[in-house]
Amino acid sequence: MQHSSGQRDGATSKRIERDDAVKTRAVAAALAVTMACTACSSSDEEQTDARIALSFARSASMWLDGWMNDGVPRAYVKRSLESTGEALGKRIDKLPGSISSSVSAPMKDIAHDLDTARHAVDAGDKARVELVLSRLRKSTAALDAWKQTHRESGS
Amino acid sequence: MKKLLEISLGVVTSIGGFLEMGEMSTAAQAGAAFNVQLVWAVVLGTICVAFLVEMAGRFSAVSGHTIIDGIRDRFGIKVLAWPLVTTVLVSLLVLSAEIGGVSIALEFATGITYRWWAVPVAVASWLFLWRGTFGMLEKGVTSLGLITLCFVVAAFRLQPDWAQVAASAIPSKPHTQAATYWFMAASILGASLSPTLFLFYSSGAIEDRWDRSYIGANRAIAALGMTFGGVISAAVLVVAAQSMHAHGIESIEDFHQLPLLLIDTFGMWGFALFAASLAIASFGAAVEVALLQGYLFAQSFGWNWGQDCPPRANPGFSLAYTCALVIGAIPIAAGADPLKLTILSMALTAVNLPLMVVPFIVLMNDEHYMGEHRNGPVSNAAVLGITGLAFVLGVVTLPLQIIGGT
Repeated sequence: MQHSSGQRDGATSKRIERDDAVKTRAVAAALAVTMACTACSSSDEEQTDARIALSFARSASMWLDGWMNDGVPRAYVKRSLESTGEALGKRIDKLPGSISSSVSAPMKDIAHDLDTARHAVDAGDKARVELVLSRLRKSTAALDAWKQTHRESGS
Repeated sequence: MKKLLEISLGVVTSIGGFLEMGEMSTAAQAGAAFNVQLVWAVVLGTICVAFLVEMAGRFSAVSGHTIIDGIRDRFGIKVLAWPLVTTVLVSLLVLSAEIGGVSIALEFATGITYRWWAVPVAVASWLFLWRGTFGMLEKGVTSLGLITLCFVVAAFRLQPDWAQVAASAIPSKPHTQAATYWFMAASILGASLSPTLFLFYSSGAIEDRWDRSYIGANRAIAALGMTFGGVISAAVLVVAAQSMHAHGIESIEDFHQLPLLLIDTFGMWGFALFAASLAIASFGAAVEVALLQGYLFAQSFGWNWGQDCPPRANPGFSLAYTCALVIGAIPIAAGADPLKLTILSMALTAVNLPLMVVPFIVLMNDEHYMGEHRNGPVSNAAVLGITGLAFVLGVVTLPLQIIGGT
């Protein structure tokens, strides 16, 4: 069956219009998914940062308690504090500007405390370690409170 | 009486050789992050690996072939090439992770950073393979691995809610961090179902000259050894849930956190026990994975192989494990994070599983090789179902984890 040139042009232009509409919808859907993912990931990132900082702080408390009671070797505690301090420092450097100060401030405090604790352990200064332990408890309480409200508000 | 002794020894070495860096890290991370909720992944992995190990031993005892040898014989080298290449690549990553495991244990013991230990550990593993016999590895190192039973003792001392642990044996959906949850499930399955284990077991059956008279012993070793091994793995998860998750440590991002698993229960002894468990378990696994590279190449290309023969009698086989140890040491010596490398390699193992398992299942159903000892529908369904689940979870969650999803 043969088609006239005009019919062919009309069918072609309709097909192009239909293809364009499909493409537009696909791009819009992809954008929506990307935006949704970005929105999710920003909130998820805060949660992840808080969880990691809390885990490091509580691990540090266990290391320091162990060292105070002569339960773990000093070299291990020192290296652990150094390694987690560096890891937390890297996370802090990568924090987005939009992150809540309720998360970033305790994270920075914890990183500072890890560094102070390492020097205190190195110097065998148990009194300073006691101080760091009490500061770590405050920072973890602040982060815990943020996590709690964040979870309750469901944001 | 002799068979009973062999079964006992087989079960003991299976238990001692079950836990390694991969099992330990994945179970610890899962317990810290999700309490005991992922016990089901350990249970599924243990069921599947018991089936796979039983099948591997039965295949070698009945056909007189190793699995690799059988796949090459049945399908030809072109079909074998795909699983061979991917298994070699993933095994090299696993080898790096195990060298990393021994290296971090040595860092704990000496205070010298793990990177400096990568080359000495690779050299020690090579010397063990070069000078040692299969029996030394099978019975010596893996028997020392019984030290990992300290995790079972710790689990009981921590008095978890056993009813909750038992209830967690049934799969459930996560309340938070869905991507991480399913990724951890894939990693646990990958750690349990590593092809290293059943390919090695099959080669070991030929090294030990198994025949049809070993079918019963093989079944007992696979069922008991893997079940008890799974219990140790579940114990690590329970200990992590009790000593880390319960203390608010929901994330293990740094390998220095791992000794806290036992420090909480045993104090200074816990630290020493953890370092010793990690060193012995990872050293045994590093030697096995390196040896597997020798088996893979030699059996694929028809070279001489056998750990009990002197290296000059098997030059290709010896060269393969030597090269593997050199390559495996590089990432750790270069400063790659052993913990992250381990978790990644376990997830990749899950993704790679079907490439080796599917042709193996075909072999297990082939009358020409297996005669009356062919697989039943239960074995086929269990292995294909769990392998498929591990593959799907790995494929879906690995990209999400790499781009940082939670």
